[in-house]
Amino acid sequence: MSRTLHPCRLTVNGEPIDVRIEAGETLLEVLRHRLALTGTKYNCEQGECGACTVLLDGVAVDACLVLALSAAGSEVTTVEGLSAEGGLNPLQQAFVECDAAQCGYCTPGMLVSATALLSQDPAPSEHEIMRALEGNYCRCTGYERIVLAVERAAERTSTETSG
Amino acid sequence: MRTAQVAERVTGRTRFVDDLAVEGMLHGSFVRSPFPHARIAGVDISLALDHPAVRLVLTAADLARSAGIPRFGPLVTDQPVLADGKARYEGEPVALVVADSLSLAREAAARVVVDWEPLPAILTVEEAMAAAPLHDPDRRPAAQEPWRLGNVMGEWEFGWGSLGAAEKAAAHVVTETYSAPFAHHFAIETHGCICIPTDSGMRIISATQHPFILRRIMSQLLDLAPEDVVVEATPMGGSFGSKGYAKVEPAAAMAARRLGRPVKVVLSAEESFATAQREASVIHARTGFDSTGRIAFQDLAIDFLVGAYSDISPRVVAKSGLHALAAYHAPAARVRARGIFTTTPPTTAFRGFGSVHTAFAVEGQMERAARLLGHEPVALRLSNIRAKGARSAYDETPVDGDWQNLLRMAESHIREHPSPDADGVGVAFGVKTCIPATRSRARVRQRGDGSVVVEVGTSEIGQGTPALLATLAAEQLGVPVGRVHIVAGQTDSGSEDALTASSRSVVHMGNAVMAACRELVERRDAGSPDANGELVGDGEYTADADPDHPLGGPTPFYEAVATAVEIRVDRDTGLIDVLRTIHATDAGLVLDRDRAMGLDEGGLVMGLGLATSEALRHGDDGRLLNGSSLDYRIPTVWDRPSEMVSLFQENRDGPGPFGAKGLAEGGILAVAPALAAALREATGTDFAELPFSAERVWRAIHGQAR
Repeated sequence: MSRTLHPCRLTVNGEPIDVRIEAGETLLEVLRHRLALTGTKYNCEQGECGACTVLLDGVAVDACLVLALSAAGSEVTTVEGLSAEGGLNPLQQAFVECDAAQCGYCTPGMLVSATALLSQDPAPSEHEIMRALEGNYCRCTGYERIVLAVERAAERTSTETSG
Repeated sequence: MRTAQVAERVTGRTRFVDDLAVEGMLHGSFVRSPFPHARIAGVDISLALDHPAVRLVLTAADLARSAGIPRFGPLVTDQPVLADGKARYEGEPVALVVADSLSLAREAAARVVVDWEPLPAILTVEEAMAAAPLHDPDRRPAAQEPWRLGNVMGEWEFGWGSLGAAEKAAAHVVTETYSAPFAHHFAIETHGCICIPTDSGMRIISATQHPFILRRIMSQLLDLAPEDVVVEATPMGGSFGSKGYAKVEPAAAMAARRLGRPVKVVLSAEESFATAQREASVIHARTGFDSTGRIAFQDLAIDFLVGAYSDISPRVVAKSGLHALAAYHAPAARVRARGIFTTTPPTTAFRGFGSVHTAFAVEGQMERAARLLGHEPVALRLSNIRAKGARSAYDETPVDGDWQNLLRMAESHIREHPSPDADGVGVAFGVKTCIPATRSRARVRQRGDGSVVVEVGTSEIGQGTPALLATLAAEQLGVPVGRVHIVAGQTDSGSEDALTASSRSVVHMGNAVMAACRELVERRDAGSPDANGELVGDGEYTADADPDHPLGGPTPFYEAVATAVEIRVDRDTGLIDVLRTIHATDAGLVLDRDRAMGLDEGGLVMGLGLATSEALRHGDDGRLLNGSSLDYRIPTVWDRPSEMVSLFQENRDGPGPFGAKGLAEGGILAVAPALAAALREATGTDFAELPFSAERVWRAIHGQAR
């Protein structure tokens, strides 16, 4: 059974990438299987758990629900692209300081959801943080430290911005 | 070390099992029973074999030996590698289809045609007692005697004192039946493994809590010497008990061996629901009190519904049964604990190991008794709770902590600053014992360049123990943590471990690491490196065994907690808003405060989910109605309490390093009874059936019984 492969150009973490993919492949499958970007996780494959959250042109989406061909031409940011190789951005640093990851499996999706929020609103309220993270399941932490970490990152970033 | 580990997680560099690939790897997908109970009249694999990407379709017919289908299990080898003649739960694997990719394997698995003849489902104690035995007794060797009891997996009875005399003398008796539904662990990472045939045997890379138990099970199953099976535990994306023993590995290994190629099997979320569940329970409790409020007797009849195969359930039933009465002194007691087979997926360990069920009953009895006797609920507990040093029956370990103080800590903090809009407050006590009579061995090596390798059999589940133990070793050896490497959960390392469970690792492996460091320092001081220029220290810790103890030995320590909750109930919807939780843990000594608090918070929120929304529900045909991430409701960020306070009692009285005790499960233990007590205050209704769903709470408020 031969399967037709279609060309697809994506910008992933700032780098233009050309892949040939099947029509039915999701962005999640392309990232993990074709591009070996395994930082993006998954659980439900039906848009509920948020583990596969990535930025698509700056908007947080469930990569399991996006057909990769429909994302052609878009900019995709995954957890691997949040900071320069070997470094941590302020949000990641806050996650480390607050011990906001235990098993760490939901963490990439959490970070991406929080990144989308902070890019829109650098000083969100607790309520806004909870709205931004409500689509991301975590079974380890009870969420307390995750919310704290996002608050801490926001405080630090807005302090830096306001000088 | 812990911060380095979290840094790895926040950059997506941690490799979980499905992030790994090995040369020549194929992918497997199971064909599963759509029925909870059905005879298999035929399996037609021809259409699947026609699929060009398919390399193997493994069925029971391929595996049958003279003794029948190979079976596995940690205690009783009752679970067939693939269903043979009959499926006993919805989702039981019937075939494993191996293909070039997972999507192709799933596609081809849909082409396997099974001729099913449905049989009646068994979902309750009553149905199990009335039904024909789920298991065929003739096929079982004599060692598996429990199977002769129809659908009763096993029954354990414990007791002391004269129950008859105590019943006659009791001034008050409280009687209630408590129940809890089947539940799912819901680790965000699903189950998975890669089985790689080697010249001498099998290499298994698996998201497993217990690499050494998995090695034993797999070497028996594959007729290999234990050393010819190498298990490498990957970091797990959560487990909570769901990834212990053997789950997907048996079929994957059999397929890999047949093909002579590596086979990866990673499940979907729905398949994980069908692979590991938490037992359901029905507990009939009778507790007698004298006129002053002292417990005169306890009488518990506990039925655990355990699913279709035994897995670790005999241990869950016996252990939580015996220790159901660990908290309060009772001069006379009887506990009968049974495991009952049902046509649901095998239940296995779940954070708390049965104690969550028994604490709900025992603490519920104290609440009801306090009302009956006109006592304050915490005061009634304080007058009955066992004092430090108190001994119980069966030569059990004397109480090793100040449990009264835990209750006082939780109560005083919750009462100190009451929220103005609170409707109810509840306080409850929980205690869990640790697995007895197990051993841990650690190896610590200092290389010629001064760097250190810490080898622990402990696996990394998210609890952070390997990193904690490596930090401990760095301190003991005077080496910066940046120069310490961890080898965790590998059977071919210099470490050996019983299992990573039961909050045991800080005590057992912690003591082993401390002993290994002492040996290394002695050799360093003596200037005696080995032939490789390395200094090596080995350490071991073994908890006491006692052949006369019903569980094989006394508990190495108690994991004791007191939990207080303050709630507001929305009278229009029945939803519970948890305003504050105070959680006090008898920690002995906290070795990593941030992680200890995080584990408590996580356990509490998991406990709140189980107490308010989590329940696996079945239709009239016995099929699961909500076995998916969409339909099974775990807590989201909105469900976390507005304020969570973790308190630790640190008297350095534990058996671990510097007096530490284990604490990873404690958060969950007393949540349900504390919430039930708060709900009673808020609604005037006693809740004895879990979960306290919005619908049930609404019906209680509006006087509509169901």
